Amino acid sequence: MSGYEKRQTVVSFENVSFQYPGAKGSSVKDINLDIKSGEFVVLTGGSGCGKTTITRIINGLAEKFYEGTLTGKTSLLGCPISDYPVYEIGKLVGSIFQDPRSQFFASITEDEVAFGCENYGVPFEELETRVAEAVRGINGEMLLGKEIYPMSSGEKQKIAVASVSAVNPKIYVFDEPSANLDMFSVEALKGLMGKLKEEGHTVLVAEHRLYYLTDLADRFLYMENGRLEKEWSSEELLQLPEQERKTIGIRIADLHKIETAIPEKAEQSEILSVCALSFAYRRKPVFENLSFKAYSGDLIAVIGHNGVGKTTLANILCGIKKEKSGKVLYCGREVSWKRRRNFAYFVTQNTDSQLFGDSVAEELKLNRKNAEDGQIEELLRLYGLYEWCDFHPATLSGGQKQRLTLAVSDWIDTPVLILDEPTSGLDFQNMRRISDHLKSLAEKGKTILIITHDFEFAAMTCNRALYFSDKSHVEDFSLQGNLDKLYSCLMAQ
Amino acid sequence: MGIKFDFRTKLLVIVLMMSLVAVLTSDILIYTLLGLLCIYLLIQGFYRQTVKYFVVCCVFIVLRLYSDGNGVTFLMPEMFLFMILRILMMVMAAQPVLGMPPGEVVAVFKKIHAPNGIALPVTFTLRFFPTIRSEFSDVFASLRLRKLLSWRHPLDAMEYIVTPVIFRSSRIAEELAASAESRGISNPGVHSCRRKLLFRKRDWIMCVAAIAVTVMYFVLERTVAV
Repeated sequence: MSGYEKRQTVVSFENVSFQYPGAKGSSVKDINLDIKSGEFVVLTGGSGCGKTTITRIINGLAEKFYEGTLTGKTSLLGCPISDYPVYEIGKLVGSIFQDPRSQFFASITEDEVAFGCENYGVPFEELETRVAEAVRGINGEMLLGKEIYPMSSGEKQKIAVASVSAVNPKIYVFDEPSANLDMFSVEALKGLMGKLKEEGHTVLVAEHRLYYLTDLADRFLYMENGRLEKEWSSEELLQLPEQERKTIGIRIADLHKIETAIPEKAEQSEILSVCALSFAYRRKPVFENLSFKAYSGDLIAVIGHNGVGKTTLANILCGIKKEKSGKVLYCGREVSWKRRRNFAYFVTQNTDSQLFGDSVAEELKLNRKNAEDGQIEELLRLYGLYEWCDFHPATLSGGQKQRLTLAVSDWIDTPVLILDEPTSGLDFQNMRRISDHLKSLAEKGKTILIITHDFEFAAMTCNRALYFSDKSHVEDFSLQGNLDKLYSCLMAQ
Repeated sequence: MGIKFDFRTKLLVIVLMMSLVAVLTSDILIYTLLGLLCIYLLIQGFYRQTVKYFVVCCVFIVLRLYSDGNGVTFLMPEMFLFMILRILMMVMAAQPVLGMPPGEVVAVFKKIHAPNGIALPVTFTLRFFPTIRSEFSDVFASLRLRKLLSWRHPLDAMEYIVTPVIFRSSRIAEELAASAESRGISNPGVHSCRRKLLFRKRDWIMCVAAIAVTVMYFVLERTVAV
């Protein structure tokens, strides 16, 4: 901290509170915060604690775009934030949002990187230089000329950073940038952030995952119920007692401290058998000759880098897609692709596209029209959703929607459950809740496959891992005593 | 490959098509206009899309001829067939602007002094089309998994499909707008473009041809109506 004290304050909050229109209370309350030039600050805390709101106040969206009410004094480079129009703030503060899918406009890399510069009228002669420098800054030369839509989340996030850095803002604000990234991409993101810090930029990151930020951050600020409650240096965060960390509900800062909790299994009846499965998309093989078996009570982490075919496998196992060749057997019998939905249910990342009811209770009734109210109440209470039983699913928070999709999967009750990145963007408490629930389902004999990039979650939940190293090779290993291997597989490119 | 037209030319074609869609009632004029739109797409190099549009047009024209004004079962009333062909005309006219570089679109709107109230929604809409496609695909997959997609209850199925797409779309639209605002899309000053904005001879020819075709179709429509 001491090195920054004499530097210019670039962001300052004095007793700042903010309330979104229509919200019952303030999202952030009485915030006092000074961020110095060149400082790297991380905001953490549970879901809904106000981290994102702080980033929105700094980039001007809170007042001008979301049209909420702000009280207290804010300043950006010495001037009140409310005095700037949002487009002026965009020159000073570069914002990188959580979901890379919904922050790009152009179809190819160069157009996207140039977009911000074009909006600020950077002369034609200078545009190409700026784009080239920004792309070089992210080591993204191989992305030039490519379509953005088919890119992995990591590549999209890289382009988001490049498109912001082309404008050359003084301050960078990241809102949960690692939420959709695999661990290898998180390392690349860490490299990019480190470079920004070296260049003297001020960086603010709102984040649940902390392990990759301990080498970079000058301060970690912990928020709870809209207030700044604690402040740690990296060293202090790393030395935080495990019990205290779990109580306040933040994700682990040192991956070496992860405790495994491999579920024990009593019996081993074969539920799923995949034999020499192959799939191709537009004649391009996605995977070939894939074989593995899964038993009742298995909790399997399906890992491998983005685009290797994990989600495609899930789609084939539950009958959304048809394989090119090979067999899928459930309970020892070969099952045609159209009948597989009777055996496996897939909870995808996009929860919005899986909820169709007029209310939370109605959502469950869709699949069991004659269900008694008592049964519905019992299930909703199990997932902590009973209070919201009359609410429309679209009005729930991300964590609540995720729990509702899991409740639906319980209701449908297939022997195999597949989940795609169930902890993306979740805080520690919600992650532990999902982990405990999946373990209890496995204890009852359900076979669960979890597509994940989350080392902490996989280590505390799963007993096996299926590692897609390339399109024709899948490695199957137990996690008992193999956490180093799990880590190296997750970090592999 | 194919001929590249300026955004202003493509915009003029869309505006003219909107006026024709609102006015034309004669089937034969609509069918021939769909043919001209196929040629418009072909000369710009949209070969695969043209084939798809051509097949869809043929199917609906045949259905319309077969229905003879009575519709095809309750699932495809006459009004539905009538609307689909008109929607197709608009979609085909808009195809060349989908996926255009946003910087070029914004710069052209600035150059022609289009008000932000028109320019910004159009820019967002262009970005939005590819997203909608993947959202529909996700919703269909989930409905199949939950066994909620049924021909026996088409209205329920329609509600299940449309509702989540609308909610998801509004969320994506909000995130996109926030991202665009923070990257200066509303800057009232000069906007530049990494592609040179040139209104070439080919654009003049296309604009004159499009206006001539529109006038001709208006006249023919009146003649047929009389």
